[in-house]
Amino acid sequence: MMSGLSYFAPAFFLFTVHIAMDAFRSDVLVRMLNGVVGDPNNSQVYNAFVYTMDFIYVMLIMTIVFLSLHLTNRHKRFMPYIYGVSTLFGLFMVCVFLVLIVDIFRGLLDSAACNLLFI
Amino acid sequence: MIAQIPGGITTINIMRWLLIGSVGIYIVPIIIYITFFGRCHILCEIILGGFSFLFYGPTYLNILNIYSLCRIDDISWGTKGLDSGTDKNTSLKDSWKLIKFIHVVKYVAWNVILGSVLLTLGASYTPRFFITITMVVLIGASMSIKVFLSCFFMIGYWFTYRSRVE
Repeated sequence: MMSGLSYFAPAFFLFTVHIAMDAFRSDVLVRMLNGVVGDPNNSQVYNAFVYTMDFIYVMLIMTIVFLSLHLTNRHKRFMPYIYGVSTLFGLFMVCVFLVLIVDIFRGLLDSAACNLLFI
Repeated sequence: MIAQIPGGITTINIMRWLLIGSVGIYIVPIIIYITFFGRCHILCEIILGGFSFLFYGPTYLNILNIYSLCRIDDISWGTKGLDSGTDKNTSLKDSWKLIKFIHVVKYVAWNVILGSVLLTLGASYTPRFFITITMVVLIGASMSIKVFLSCFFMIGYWFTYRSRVE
């Protein structure tokens, strides 16, 4: 089962990143820039943030596929890219974990505060 | 939005506690270990290890999987003469390359389809709730297997220990 799930890992990770960025948008961005934009919940600027992060993630994955098909692991262009993407994905994962944990505890302490996440 | 969910806020709170409980499966053995063996430094190692696991998780799951799939026809590690330049071996390598491209295209296509479905369903609140239930059930099933195996090995260890004492 786990190897089957790992086959779909990029799609699940994309969904998790999307949810976490959505939570970050509503919990942090909307509150932080509340006075700047009139109606933050319906602003396309805030929605663009979430979809920009999704787009960056998809482009990184597709570039890995492209470079893996054409270059070997010892190629001088491949190595810095793969290390950079690995670090970036790790930071993504830690951010996602922190955002979701904070949102879960906020929801448990005050149910009305957690109004966006699915849990 | 919460009113759309069957059971309302009660169901959502149950889901939250289930998630906390699933994390607790990892935390309870740590507390038991610290209590019985009095080694607190293990907690720091576990926290650091947890962050390390989180940090390297996407690399192991995404990047290494993709790279291994994209280099599945790489025979530079030792092939007993398969990398020689005969016609038979050349046609064999071409067929491997074709198989590789088919597998990579299938991998990308399935992930694009699943990602699109998840993002489309995740746009509204009720489907997102049921996707979460599915994911929690999957995580719960894998954790149940771990707990079952742990109990199995602990009981086995206990019987081995008793037979040695007797």
